[in-house]
Amino acid sequence: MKTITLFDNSLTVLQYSDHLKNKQRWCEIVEDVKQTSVNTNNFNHSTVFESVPTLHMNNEFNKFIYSDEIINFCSKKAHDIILPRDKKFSCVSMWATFIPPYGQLLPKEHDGVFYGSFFLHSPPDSGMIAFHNDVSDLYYSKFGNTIHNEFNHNIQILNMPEGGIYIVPSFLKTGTTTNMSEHTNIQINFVLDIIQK
Amino acid sequence: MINYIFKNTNNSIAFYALKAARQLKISGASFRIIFDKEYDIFLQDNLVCDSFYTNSDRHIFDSFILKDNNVLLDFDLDFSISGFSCYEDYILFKLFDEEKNLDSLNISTKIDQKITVEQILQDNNRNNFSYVLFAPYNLDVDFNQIYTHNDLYYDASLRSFYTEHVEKICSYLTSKVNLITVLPSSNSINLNELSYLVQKSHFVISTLDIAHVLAVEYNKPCFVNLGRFTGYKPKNENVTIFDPERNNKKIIPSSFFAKDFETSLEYNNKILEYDVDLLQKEIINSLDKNQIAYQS
Repeated sequence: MKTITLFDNSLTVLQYSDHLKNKQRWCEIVEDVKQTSVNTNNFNHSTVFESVPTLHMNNEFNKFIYSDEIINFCSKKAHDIILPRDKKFSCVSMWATFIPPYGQLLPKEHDGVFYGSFFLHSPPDSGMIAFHNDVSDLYYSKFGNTIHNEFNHNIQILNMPEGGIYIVPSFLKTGTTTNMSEHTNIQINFVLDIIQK
Repeated sequence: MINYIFKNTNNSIAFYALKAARQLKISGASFRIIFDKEYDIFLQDNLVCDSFYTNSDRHIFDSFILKDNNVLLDFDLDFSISGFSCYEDYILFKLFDEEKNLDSLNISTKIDQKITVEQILQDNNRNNFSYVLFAPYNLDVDFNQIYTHNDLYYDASLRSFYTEHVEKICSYLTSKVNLITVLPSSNSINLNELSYLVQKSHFVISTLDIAHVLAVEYNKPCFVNLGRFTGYKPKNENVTIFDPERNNKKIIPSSFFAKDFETSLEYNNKILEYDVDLLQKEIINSLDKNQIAYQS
């Protein structure tokens, strides 16, 4: 028997190597961003704070955008999708998301080609990341009440390890489960798009 | 092995070079001296004659001319823009200064002084990402008493920022970063406090004074306005030098161009005195280069 992948919805998992070196400084920066910017996430969840998406223009996050992990990901994907020579990947927006205790980020789609989440501060029990498939619940309900895996359910829930980077195609709806800890979970979210060189 | 390559030389240069070479040889360094011409004075000296070569020794010269450890002493263009008034100073600077390893300063800060500095930082926190220390006036300290921790004093005569510029830069940078100013009008600052302040800052803007020395010591990115100082070469890559008058002050024009030179010098001085945009642009470029976060 042979299985062929028809469409690629795969999640890429990366581990940012300089996380411990930069964590404190980046937490200070996003705290400043929180103090000076407005919450752009009112329509998704009132308790979650999302900063304005201009973080990629901050000098300090150049280290992240031009890190080996992101560059390797882009070059691999450029090879996979057969990117034309006159186009390139670019980080078009980046923002910080603060999920306070009992907060939850509702699932939503994003612009661009790839949507990434970098887990800057993940206290224990501070929720899990959830990816939603567009296929209707009716289809999956036919499988009955089985143990959920990637073949029989339209929601995949994964841990959010600190220092990890999860990158998925941006058409997948992405959210989180409820933060059950007493601390705020901080993520850096970004969108990679393909632009003209 | 370091190769000192001498270009455009004459007899007096050879004499000073021999003096310096003997000093190097006695200190046990291994080096070669390559001259563009042949000088008997070298061949007669038993101590350094082994290390002396000329351009005619092609087989040796070609093999190491492109290597990194070559030091070029050009007595035509490089000497004229280096700001040294005599050959001897230039040779000594090239042969000895780059090998000097300075001892660390070892300035310790007491807990109450640290609390004072933390309070300064907290007062100046405007949520603009980075702390930038701005010390435009020369902060001086008596180096014989550096370990007795005397207060610093301001030497206004050696300033390299114009007073009008200081006000404009302050108001410009206040909106961009968390600016901490060390000005004569503010309270007096101690050497220990300044040392801790430099450690806690992300970027230092100063003249060539103790604030700059501390920034280099703690490996902080810094911006130096040289002003009247010349011949300063930082070893550290994250030091930005601002010296727009460099070309004007150091090149000695021939009499034919003297009039034009004076006119251009006067004109450039006017620009520098009234136009602060260049300085602001260079500071922002330096912040970008060193990846210091600021409000756009």
